[in-house]
Amino acid sequence: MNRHTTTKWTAWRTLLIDLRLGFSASARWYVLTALFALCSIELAVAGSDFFGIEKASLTWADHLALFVGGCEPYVFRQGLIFVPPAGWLLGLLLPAYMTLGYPYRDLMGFGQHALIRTSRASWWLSKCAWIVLTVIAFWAIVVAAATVITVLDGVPFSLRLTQGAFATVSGLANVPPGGIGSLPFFAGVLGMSVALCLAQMTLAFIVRPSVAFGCMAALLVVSAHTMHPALLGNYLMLARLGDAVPGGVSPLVGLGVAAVLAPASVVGGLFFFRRTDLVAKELFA
Amino acid sequence: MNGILAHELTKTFRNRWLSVALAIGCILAIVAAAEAITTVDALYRSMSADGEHYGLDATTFLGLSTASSYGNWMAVNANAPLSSTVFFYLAPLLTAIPFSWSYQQERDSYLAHVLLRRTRTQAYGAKAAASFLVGGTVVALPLVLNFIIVSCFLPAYMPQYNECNYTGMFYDSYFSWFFYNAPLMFVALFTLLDFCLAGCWAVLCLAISTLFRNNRVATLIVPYLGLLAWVYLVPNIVFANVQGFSTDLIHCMMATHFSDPPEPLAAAALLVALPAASFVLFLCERRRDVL
Repeated sequence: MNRHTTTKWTAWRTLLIDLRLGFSASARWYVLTALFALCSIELAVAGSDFFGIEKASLTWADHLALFVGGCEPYVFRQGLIFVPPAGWLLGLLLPAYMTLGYPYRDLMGFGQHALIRTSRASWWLSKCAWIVLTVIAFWAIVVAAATVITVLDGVPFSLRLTQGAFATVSGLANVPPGGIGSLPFFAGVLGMSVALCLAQMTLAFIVRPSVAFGCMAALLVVSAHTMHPALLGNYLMLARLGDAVPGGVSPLVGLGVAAVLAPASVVGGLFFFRRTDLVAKELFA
Repeated sequence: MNGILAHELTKTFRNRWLSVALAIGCILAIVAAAEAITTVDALYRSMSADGEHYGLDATTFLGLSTASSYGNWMAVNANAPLSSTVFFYLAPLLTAIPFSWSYQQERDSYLAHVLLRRTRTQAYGAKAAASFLVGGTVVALPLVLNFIIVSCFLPAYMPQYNECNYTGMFYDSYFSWFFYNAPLMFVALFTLLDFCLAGCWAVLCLAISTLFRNNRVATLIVPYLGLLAWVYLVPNIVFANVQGFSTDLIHCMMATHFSDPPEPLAAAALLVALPAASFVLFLCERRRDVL
C-alpha cells in the first residue's frame, strides 16, 4: 500500500494541491498581469498630462486607482457611439479568465480522482478558496506595479485620492482640496472582484465557462455604459465613485453587495455541483 | 477534399454550440432593434409635442437618416448604442465558440484517422473553411435579422448626407457612397464585410488552438483577451502619434465611429493578415508529429 492511499484526504490537503497546481498553471498570467498593470498605469499617468495635471501631484493611491479608472457614463446623442474603456475591461477580464480555466481542467483530470477520495463539498470549497487567493494575488501584483511607478515618478505614498486622478477619467468629479480616503474604494474593488469571479465559476458550471465569461464581459460593458448601483461593474470604476462623482455609487454599498453575492455564489454553486452528473456530462467547453 | 469538407461542414452546422452562439447573437440583435425603435418612437413623440415633428412631416429638421431603417441598423447604430456595442464586443468571442476548439479535441483521435487517408493540407483546409463559414454566419445572421426587424417598424427613408453628424456615417466611412446612394446595397456589402472579418477571426482562433493542449477554455478566451489588448494598446502605443483611424477588428466591424474612423485599408489589411497568421500557425503545426 503506497503512501498516498494511507494519507487522509482532507479539505486542507485538497486546498494545498489546488494552490500548487493552480498557481503553477497561472504563473505566466501573473507575469502578463504585471506587464499589463505597469503599462496601463503608466499610460493613464501619461494621459493625465493631456488634462494639464502634473505628474508630481498624483499619489500612490491615484496610481493604483487609475488601473480601474473606467469612463464617464454614456449620455445619448444621435451619431455618438458608445466606446467601452478597453483597458479597464481587459484589467477586469484578466482575473476572470485566470480563475475560470483551472477548476474545469482539474475536474476533467486530477479532480475526478480526487473526488473519489474526498467529498464534493471539500472539492468545491477548495476551488472557491483558490479563486479568492488568486484574485488577491492578482491585485497584489497590481499594487506592486503601482508602487514601482510611484517610486520611479518620485511621488508621495499617500492613501488619498486627489482631483488629478479623477480629472483623468471623468470631468464630472469634484474632490475636496485634501483629497478623499481611498481604502473604502479599494476594499470595494477587491470585494466585488472576488464576488464576481466566484459568481462566474458558479455560472460556468451551469452554462459552461465560455458563456459565463461572455456574461461577465457583457456585464462590464453594460456597467461602463450606464451608472446604476445594480450594475456591479460600477463598483469597480474610479469614474463612478460616489464620494467624488455626483450620482456615483458608494463603495460601502459595493462591499455589502459583494458580501452577499460571494457567499450566495459559493452556496448556490455547491448546491448545483452536488447534483451534477460529472461523468456523463461534457463539462469542458 | 469534397468529402472531408462536406463532413466538416455537416459537423459544424449541426453543432449545438452554433445554436448557442447564434441564439446569443440573435437575442442581442432583437434587443438592439427594440432599443432603436423605442428611441425613434420617443423622438417622434417629443418632437410632435414641440410641434416640430420628425421625418417627412418635420417642419425644420427632417432627420430622415436617423429615423430610417438604414440609420437604425445595428452596424450604423444611430439610436441603439448599448446593445449593438455589446454585440460587436462579444462577436469575436461568439465566432470562436461553435468550432474553434474542434482541432484541439480531434487532434489525437478523429484527425489522426483522417490523416491516414488525406493530406494535412486537405484536413486543415477543410477545418479552416468550415470555421470561416460558421464564424461569418454567427455575425451575419444577427445583422440580417436586426435589419429585417428594424425595417418592419421604421420607414426606409433615403439617408441624407447633411445629417452625417447624427448618424456617424461620414464621407470617409466604409461604403459611405453606397449608404447615401444605394443603402440596401450598403447593407449587403457591409454584411459581407463583417461575414469575412468574423470568418477570418474564427479561422485564426482555430489556428491559435494548435498552440494549446487539452485546454478548450484557453482556446476560446485567450484570442479574445489578445484582441482586447490590441484594442487598448495599439492605439495608445503603436499609433499614439498617428491620428485618424482605428485598426482593430471590433471597430472595423462597425460602420460608424466616435473619434478614429475605421480605415478601409485597415480592414483590407485584416482580411489579409488574419488568414496569413493562421496559415503560418498551421504551417508550424504541419511539422509536428500528429501522434
